[in-house]
Amino acid sequence: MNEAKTPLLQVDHLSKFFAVKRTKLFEPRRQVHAVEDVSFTLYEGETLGIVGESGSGKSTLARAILALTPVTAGSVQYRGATITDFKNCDAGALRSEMQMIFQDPYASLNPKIKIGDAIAEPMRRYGFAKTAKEASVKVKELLQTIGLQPEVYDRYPHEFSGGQRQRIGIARALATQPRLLFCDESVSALDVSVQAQILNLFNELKAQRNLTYVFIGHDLAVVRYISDRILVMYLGKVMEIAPYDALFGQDTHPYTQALISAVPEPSVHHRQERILLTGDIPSPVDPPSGCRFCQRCFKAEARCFAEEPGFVEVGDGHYVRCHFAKGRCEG
Amino acid sequence: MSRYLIRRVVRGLLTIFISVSLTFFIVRAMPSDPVSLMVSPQMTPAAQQAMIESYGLNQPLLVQYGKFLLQLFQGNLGTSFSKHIPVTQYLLERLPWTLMLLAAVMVLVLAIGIPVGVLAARKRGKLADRIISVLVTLGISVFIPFISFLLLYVFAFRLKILPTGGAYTPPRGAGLAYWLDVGKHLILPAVALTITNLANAVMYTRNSMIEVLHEDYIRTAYSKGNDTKRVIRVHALKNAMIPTVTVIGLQIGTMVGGAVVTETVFSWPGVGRLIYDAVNALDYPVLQGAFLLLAVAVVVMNFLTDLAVAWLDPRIRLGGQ
Amino acid sequence: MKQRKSTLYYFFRNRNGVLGLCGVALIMAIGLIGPLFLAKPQGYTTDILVAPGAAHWLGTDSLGLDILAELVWGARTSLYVSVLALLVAAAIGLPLGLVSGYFNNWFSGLIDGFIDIFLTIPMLPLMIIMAAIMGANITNVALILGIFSWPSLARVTRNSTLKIREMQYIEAANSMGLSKMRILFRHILLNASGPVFVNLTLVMASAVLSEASLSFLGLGDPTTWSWGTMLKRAWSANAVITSPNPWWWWLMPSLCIVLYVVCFNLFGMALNDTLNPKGRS
Repeated sequence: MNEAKTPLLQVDHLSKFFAVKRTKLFEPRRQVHAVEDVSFTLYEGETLGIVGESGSGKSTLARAILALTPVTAGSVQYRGATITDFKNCDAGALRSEMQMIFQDPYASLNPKIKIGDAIAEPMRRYGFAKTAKEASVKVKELLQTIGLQPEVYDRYPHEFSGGQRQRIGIARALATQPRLLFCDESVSALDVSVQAQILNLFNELKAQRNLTYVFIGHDLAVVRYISDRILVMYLGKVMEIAPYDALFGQDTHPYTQALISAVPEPSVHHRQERILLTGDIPSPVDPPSGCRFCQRCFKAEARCFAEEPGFVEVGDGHYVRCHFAKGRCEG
Repeated sequence: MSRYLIRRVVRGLLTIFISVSLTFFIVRAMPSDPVSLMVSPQMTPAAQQAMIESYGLNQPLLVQYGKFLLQLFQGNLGTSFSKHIPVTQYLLERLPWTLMLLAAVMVLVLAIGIPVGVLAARKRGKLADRIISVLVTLGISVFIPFISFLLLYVFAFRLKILPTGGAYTPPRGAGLAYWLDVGKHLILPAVALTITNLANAVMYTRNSMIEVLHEDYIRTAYSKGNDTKRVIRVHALKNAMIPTVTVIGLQIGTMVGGAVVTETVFSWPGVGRLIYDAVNALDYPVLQGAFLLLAVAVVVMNFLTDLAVAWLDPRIRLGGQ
Repeated sequence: MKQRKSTLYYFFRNRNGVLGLCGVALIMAIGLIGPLFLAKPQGYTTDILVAPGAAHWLGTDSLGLDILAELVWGARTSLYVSVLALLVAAAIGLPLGLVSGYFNNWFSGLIDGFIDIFLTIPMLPLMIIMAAIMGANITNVALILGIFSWPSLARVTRNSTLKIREMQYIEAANSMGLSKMRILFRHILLNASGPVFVNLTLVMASAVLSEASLSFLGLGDPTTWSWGTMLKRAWSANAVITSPNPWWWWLMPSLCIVLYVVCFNLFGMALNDTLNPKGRS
């Protein structure tokens, strides 16, 4: 199947810095480089996984794209039109097309609002349902799609389990018939067995509704399961972008290799040797020059500390930010 | 420590500034004609006109505000409608009595409140504590005229051992006899005003004492032996008193309000009673001046409380924020 | 499906709270329905200062009017004052608290600072000034009380809002593009209701206390029966220390005031304990 891939979202050199609160009055203003110079293209119908450890900036990236926090630099384009910070465009319509599913099922639903009303709320706000009755019908349909009984319309979040609450969060995100869904660590807070159910639900919904996903997580095994392409982040910068199978081959970023070696393999045979990262994590406040990963990298040389590597294309749609990456044109 | 005190002084000044501004704007923002509120109707038209000029009542608001502040700096609070004497003088005559009453109340609150609170903390959950809790709940709900009436009825009317009002029984004596007489007259008003604040003090002392007594360093010290127990109790007390003193500081404004009512009931010749008389006579300059004076008194007392807290709390005393 | 014990369940285990609630309900019943049964005391009769007995259950005052009727009508006044003060305080304090807590900018810092300082000022003298200027009218008094009650309410609301706005469900509401008004007045307010309710009960209790104090000092409404004005008249007639002592005249209104305040305080404190997980045994 060789379809032309339509770009849905284009992110160019996106940066988000947070100011560090000054303790003394005349200190130079310092910034936390939460996200720096991130660029990627998201194609319609794919699932892009973003993986990285805590503090890598992946959640901040999603929020910056969705204008939940203002962007420091860079631009975001959606279907060709610039929508950075949702300025100069119809923020309302855009928000309905791009929704987010949050991490904590215990905190992402308002405990004082019935779940049926919570799902109906965005529906009515965007006019997908004009009256309460209409909303109620549509919400019940939606509840069935995600695997819950329509009768639970009148219940409160605390009456559900974590997995069920996450489903409700998904239903709420689907209420505005979005095209693009950001899943921010959406399964991280769930038990492993429940994670599998939710991931399968994601795939079903994607097929049914022709959705595009950005799936953010820290567990490479989970991200691998669901993603078509994977973007690896470290300390605010993209270290590697690769189709999911290429990520496990050769020519990958040292950080990716370390991550992969940490994934538990249920096998008694050939155990890959675990790569342990040494050194301290540098501070995201005013980061050092050179490669972000240099202080912990097992391959690091003098060059890595001095000069930041650019992206090297090592394969079809496979880019690595490393001095040791062998470009396609090279031998 | 000095940073803390400076912050407190600034805050005190801000409080006075806000009080002054509130007074200014209330009088001028009311539907009634500010002229009638500030210039006595009993004066001759010429005198009234002169007053209007000096207050700047026919000039823009900002000018009036300036004149008002200027007058305040000069200590001029206007002239009483009913007594025809400068308000400042009138107030200062009465201020010492109110201060005496408040001082007595503070002493009682601390001297009784803290030991009772400590007792309740130590006998936590037992009968003594339960009784104290009930009394505390009643105490914070008490209505000053109610408690005053009860005290008057029981001690002044029935038992006839304490006087019914005033600060002293005329004629005004001198020396020790006079002060003893004043003291006798002080008892009932002081007790009446103490009750509510006492309840608060007991509650806070008890709660913070319970918390402190459960701290690890206290339990360690207990396990070391008997003598240490006493030292620890004193030390724990010092820590537990911090929120109590802080809360008393916060209550001073309310306490002053309570003093107004108490002085009225007992005819205690302080600023509070003055307010009552002024209300009856619709003597607005006196009312305004009294409020400002009381606000300043509250600010000063708050500052003293802050000093006490600073002394008690080693974190403040030894510097840092 | 998990069930969690509801807040109501915990509340009703608190005996004090139930007691307070019953008291509050009783007072409301008396205040609302009582005046329908007992005529408003007016004018004067010849039964001056009669002790409690068969004809007058709680005695009469110096005008010969029935004390029980006066108390019942006073209850209505107290309710009126409490509720009106509450509405005024809530109308100003809730939106201000919500907005200042949500948009935590320099303006809200300013307001918070102002509230902080305002709460230390002696309020009664200032209320006296306002009441003296505005005139003796029960509605005016209630308005003044509301105006002096909003700062504490705003502060409580602001503190709750500061905590709630960090919650993920608020972030979710934002990402759904809901209007700020909706987020403030539905999503946040629903979750702030606990401490806010507690403060509201305190507002009602302190409103009656302040009204009684103001009336006692002579700033009350002479045309309305209120417990405070009753006390003022008793006091002016030296009822506490005359002999024979018409104790029913000064004791009854005082008790009513204390009961009203105690019930609301108990209710509010129990509510506070219920809503604080630490308070649960």
